[in-house]
Amino acid sequence: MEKDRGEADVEIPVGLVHPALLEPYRPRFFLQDEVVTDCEITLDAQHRGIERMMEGIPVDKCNIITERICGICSCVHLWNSVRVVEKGLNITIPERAQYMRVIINELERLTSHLIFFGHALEIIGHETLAMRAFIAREPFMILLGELSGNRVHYACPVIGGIRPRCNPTDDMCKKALAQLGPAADYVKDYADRILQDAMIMSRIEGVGVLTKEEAIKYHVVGPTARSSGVAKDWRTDIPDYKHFDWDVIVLDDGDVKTRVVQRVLETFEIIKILKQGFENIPAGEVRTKDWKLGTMPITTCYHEAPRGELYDSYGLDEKGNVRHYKNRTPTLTNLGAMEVACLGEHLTDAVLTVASCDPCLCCTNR
Amino acid sequence: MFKAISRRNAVHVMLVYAGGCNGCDIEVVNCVLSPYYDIEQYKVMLTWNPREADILLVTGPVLKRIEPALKKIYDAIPDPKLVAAVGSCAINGNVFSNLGGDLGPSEEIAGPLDKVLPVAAKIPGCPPRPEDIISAAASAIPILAEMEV
Amino acid sequence: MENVNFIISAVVLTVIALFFGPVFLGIERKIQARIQQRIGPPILTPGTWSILKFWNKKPFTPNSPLPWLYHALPPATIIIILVILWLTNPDWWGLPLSLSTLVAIVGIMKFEEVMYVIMGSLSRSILSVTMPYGDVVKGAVTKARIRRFLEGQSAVRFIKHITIASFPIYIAIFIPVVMARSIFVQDVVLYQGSFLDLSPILFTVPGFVGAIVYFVGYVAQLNDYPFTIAKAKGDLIEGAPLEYGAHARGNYYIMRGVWMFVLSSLFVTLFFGIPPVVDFSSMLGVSQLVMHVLLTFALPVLVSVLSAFGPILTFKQLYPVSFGFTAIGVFGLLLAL
Ligand code: SF4
Repeated sequence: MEKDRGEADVEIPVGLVHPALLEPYRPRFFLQDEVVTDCEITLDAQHRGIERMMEGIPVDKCNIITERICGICSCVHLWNSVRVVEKGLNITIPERAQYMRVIINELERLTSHLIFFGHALEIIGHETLAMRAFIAREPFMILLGELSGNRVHYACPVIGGIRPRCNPTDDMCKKALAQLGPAADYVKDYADRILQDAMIMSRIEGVGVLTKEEAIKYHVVGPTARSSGVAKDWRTDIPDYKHFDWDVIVLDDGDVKTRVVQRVLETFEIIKILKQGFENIPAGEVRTKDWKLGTMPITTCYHEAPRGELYDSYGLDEKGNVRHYKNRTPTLTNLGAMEVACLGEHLTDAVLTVASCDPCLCCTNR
Repeated sequence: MFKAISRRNAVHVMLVYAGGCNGCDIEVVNCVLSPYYDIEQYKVMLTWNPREADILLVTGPVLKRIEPALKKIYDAIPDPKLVAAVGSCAINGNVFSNLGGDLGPSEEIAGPLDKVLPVAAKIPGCPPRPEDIISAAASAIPILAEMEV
Repeated sequence: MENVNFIISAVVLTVIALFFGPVFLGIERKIQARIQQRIGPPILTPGTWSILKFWNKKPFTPNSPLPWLYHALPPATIIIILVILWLTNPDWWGLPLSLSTLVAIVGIMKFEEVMYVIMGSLSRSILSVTMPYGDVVKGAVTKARIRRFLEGQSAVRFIKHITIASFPIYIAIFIPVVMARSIFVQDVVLYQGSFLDLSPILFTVPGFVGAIVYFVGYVAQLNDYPFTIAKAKGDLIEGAPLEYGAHARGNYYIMRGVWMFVLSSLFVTLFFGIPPVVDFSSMLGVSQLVMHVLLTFALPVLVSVLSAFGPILTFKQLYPVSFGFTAIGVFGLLLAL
């Protein structure tokens, strides 16, 4: 289906404060009757100038700021920023630290996906199931709080390993494993409940289709791309994930339903990783001090954030200060593609489509 | 008629994201309102319409780009009204206005919040714990009830 | 004497409606909260106390081309929908108005619906076009001639909603009419026997079909989930009533509550054969009124359960749903013949 950006009679600007957007950004929908013929999303409201703040800052302070780029995927930002130094200076980290990083990161991905379900259901007006998503999410948040000491900014990876605070005792691992069972069952039941609800399915099926060609053209990343048939997951390239057995979920249809189903299936994979993590976590050190900061050429690292590809690059000068910090987050390209995917939809469905790539504007604006 | 008692028994809060990371916002929308904590049982309800609101919760360091909108929204709330700053960002700008390299901290920030709006309650933490948000709401309600107008 | 009687009953019914309407709002919220596995607000909080709170706020001028009309709409609507309640009262049947017919009631119902369209076109909330944010800048797309407020879109949707989603309730109202072979409320009520010897239409096959269709129409009339496209939270936030604040919002809440009560009361009158009698002289009259009020709780409770499980239906789903139930209603009509 060829989608044209057509003529319009009416424009409806939405935002900055809006229950479906949550974060401040401003889509402008151009309508003919109620059908969206063009859409423009203005993004800059949350720009904090983080890249500019980073110039010449000591690298450990830099990591405090990168973590605060986003409150939903804070671990992956921190991890990727730490990985840049580790890659540039050839630091190998202990195996236990690798396990812990993956565990925290996957727990975070899980809570992030559950927010997505809750939020998508709130947009289509199903408050009850949205609330169920938050019930399902809370045990994982508490678990994260217990493992790392904070519910949102875990501050887990540091250069050379993880923060000793985040090093769980064996008892904690056992307890976490025991908690994981019922919580994961709840998530399974919940996902079944969504996928069997005829009314919800009639709202999201066939809405906001993004074909594979369009997905490649707009460089869509992450779950949004994987539900349009593009098989790319940066986690497969990261050595820490080599300890685990899991699959990349790729689906082909590219509508809102597929995006939900893809995340549901991905949630099950995450639970698989978490179970392996808590079972097999090796004993030993969590941090090496066997490195020295020094001049580092500009180094680039990619990682898979809950919403897709995350890019960080910077170099260090001789004092260990950050130079030329760059960061790019997945939502930028995803939202650009959603401008196209929502064409031809009813306004209410268009808002749903835009939200279905799970946009995270605080990352995108930095 | 029934001024103080009705204000004690029904409070509408409105949440504005003023440019922080998402941490505080998610804690308010998806945690404090979720069945696990359920702030509605303390007679506090969430709204997205300033005309309906009594308490304005602001998260984030108040960026220059959002400041005019925030002020307009504050003006749209009918009196009596209170503003609560949620999180370190809204209270003192957190890392964004206190850390910086060669070029200094961020210049995009108009806040912290008390430079922009009169703040009645501050809820510290990055992000604040859900219990703290609930107890702050509970302690703001009597202030609201005793207000003139 | 007669004159005094009908005034007294009008006043009593008004007081009942003003009291129970807001309570219904609270009951609805409470039931939804329980379904969502949380405790939820106390029953009086979302309705009664909120309204009192809004009345105690400082009045202001709304952003509207005609602020006085915008503010006058809810009180006017409350009075007009109360007329429906009065017309079903036996003291009003005898008045030389000839208005106690279901045709008149349907006409009055139309007003309530149209009122939302006016409301939507008069409101100019800051949440969309006037939000101070530089999005129309050099290089931005400007295709459309009109920048429409969310409420404007809400008004447009209400027009569509009126045309399609109110069929079910009208069809349902006329099923008792066909069964009683009269458009007079009096005849419909008497057809079902006296209070002590009732044979409600609800328990006949066409009556039951009618009740189901009435229920769906009731949800559509209240614009509650899932028929809430005209004020869908996902894109229009609240739609037409966005600019109501302070006392005007209190009035708007009352309007919603009273509308909930009046339609529920009409259901009890038509399908149970128990009109809202105001007669404090005998036990029979009092118990009839109590029974009537108790039965009005049924529909709001059912609505809250349905709305807790329904997503917003867009027009794509709304057309088939509405036409489907209209068809069921027509089937009920044929059965009633
Ligand atoms: S206080 Fe912390 S959690 Fe809250 S918005 Fe600021 S950085 Fe995010």
